[in-house]
Amino acid sequence: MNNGINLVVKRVEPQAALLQKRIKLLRIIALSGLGLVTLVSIVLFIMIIASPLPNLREKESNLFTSLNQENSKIQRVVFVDKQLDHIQNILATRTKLPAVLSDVLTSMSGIRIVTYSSTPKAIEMTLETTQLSQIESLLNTLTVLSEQGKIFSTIVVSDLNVSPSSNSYQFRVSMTNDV
Amino acid sequence: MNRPLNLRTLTIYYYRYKDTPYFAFGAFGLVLVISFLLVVFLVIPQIQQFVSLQREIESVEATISTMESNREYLQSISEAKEQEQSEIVRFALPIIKDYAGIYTAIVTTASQTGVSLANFQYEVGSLNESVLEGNVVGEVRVTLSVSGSPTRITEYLKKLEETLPLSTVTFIAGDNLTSQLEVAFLYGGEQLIQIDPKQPLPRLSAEKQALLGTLSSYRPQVEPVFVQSTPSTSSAESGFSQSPF
Repeated sequence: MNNGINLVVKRVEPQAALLQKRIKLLRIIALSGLGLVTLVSIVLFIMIIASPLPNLREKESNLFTSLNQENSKIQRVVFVDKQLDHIQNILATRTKLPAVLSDVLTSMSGIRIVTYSSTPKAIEMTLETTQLSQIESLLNTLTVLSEQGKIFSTIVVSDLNVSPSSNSYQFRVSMTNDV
Repeated sequence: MNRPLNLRTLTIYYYRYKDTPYFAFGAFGLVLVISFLLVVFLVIPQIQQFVSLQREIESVEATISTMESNREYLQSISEAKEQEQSEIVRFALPIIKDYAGIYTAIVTTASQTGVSLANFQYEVGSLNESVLEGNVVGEVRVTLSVSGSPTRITEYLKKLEETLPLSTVTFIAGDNLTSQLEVAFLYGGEQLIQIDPKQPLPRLSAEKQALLGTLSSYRPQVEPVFVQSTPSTSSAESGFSQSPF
C-alpha cells in the first residue's frame, strides 16, 4: 500500500537484485537439501523397519531345527561320502600284486614253478623246464607284458643250471620295478 | 564491556537484522549446516545399517537355500537306500578292526576258489588302537598258509581283493603246492563327523555311486562254512561291525 501511494519511483540497485537472486538460490538449495535429507532418511527408516530379516531368521531357525532332527541321517550321508573318498584312494594306490602275478603265471606254459616269492616291488621265481625254447618263449612273453606295463619293468634271468639226471633246465627270474 | 546474550538481546538482534541480507544468509546457511549434519550423523549411518542389513539378508537367504537344498536331498534318499549305502561302506572300510569280517572274507573266498587254508594268523595289536585317532586308514596284517597251485592262489588273492573288507596283498611266497601269504586288511577312515546343517551336504558323484555298486557286488554272498582252520592268534574282538552312530 505504501508502494501504491509513493510517488517516487523505486529504484532497485543492480547489486541488490543480484543479492536477492543469490538469497533466493541459497533458500532453494537449503530447503530442498533439507527436504531431500529428510525424505531419504524417512525412506531408509521405512526400508530398515520393513526389512524381511526377522522372518528370514525365523525361517532359518525352523529349518535348522528340522535338519537337526535328522542329524543322524546327515552324519551317515557324510560318513558314506568321506569313507568313499578313502576307499577311492585305497583302490587307486593298493598294490596290483595278484594281477601282476597272474599275468606272469599265464605266460608260463610248460614251465614248472619250483619256488616263488613276490612283494609289491619285486617277483622272484625259480623255474624248471625241459626245453630251452620255452625259456625263450617265456622271456618274449614277459617282455611284451613289461612293455604293456602289466608287469614290472626290469626282468633278469640268472642261475641257469642243467640237471642231467632229470634232463631239465632250472633258472631264476627276477622282476623289479627298478630301472 | 560484555553483555550477556539473553533472549531480549536476541530479539533486538532479530528485529535489527531481519530485513537484511545477513539474516537470510545466516538462516539458510544454518539450514544447510543442519542438513549436512543430518547427512553425516543420520543418513550415512542409516545407509550403512541398510547395506549391512542387505548383506545379512543375502547371507541368511543363502543359508536358507542351502538348508532347503539339504532337506530336499535328505528327503530324496530313502531310509532303506541310505542304510544300505552306509552298511556297504562300513563293510568295505570298517572304522574299527573287523576281525569277524576278515575271517569271513578269508574263509568264504577260500571255499569259492577251491584253495585249502592250512592255518592263518593275524596280529590283534593293541586293543587301544582298535579305533584309530584321526581320519587315517590302518591295516590288520594277516598271514595265511594256503595249499594250492600258484595259479589257484593267485585266483584266491584276486578274489580276496574283490571281497570286503578291502585288503591289499603285501607278500606271497611258496612253491608248487603251498604258499605263505600276507594280506593287509584295511580299516579306519572317518572317526568323528561333525557337520553343520548350514553347510551344503556332499552329494554322491556318479563315480562314487558306481563305486558303491562295485563294492556292493564285493560283499560276501555266502555265509562262511566253518572249516578246521585254527587262527594262531584268536580274535577276542570278533563282531566289531558296529555303527559309529
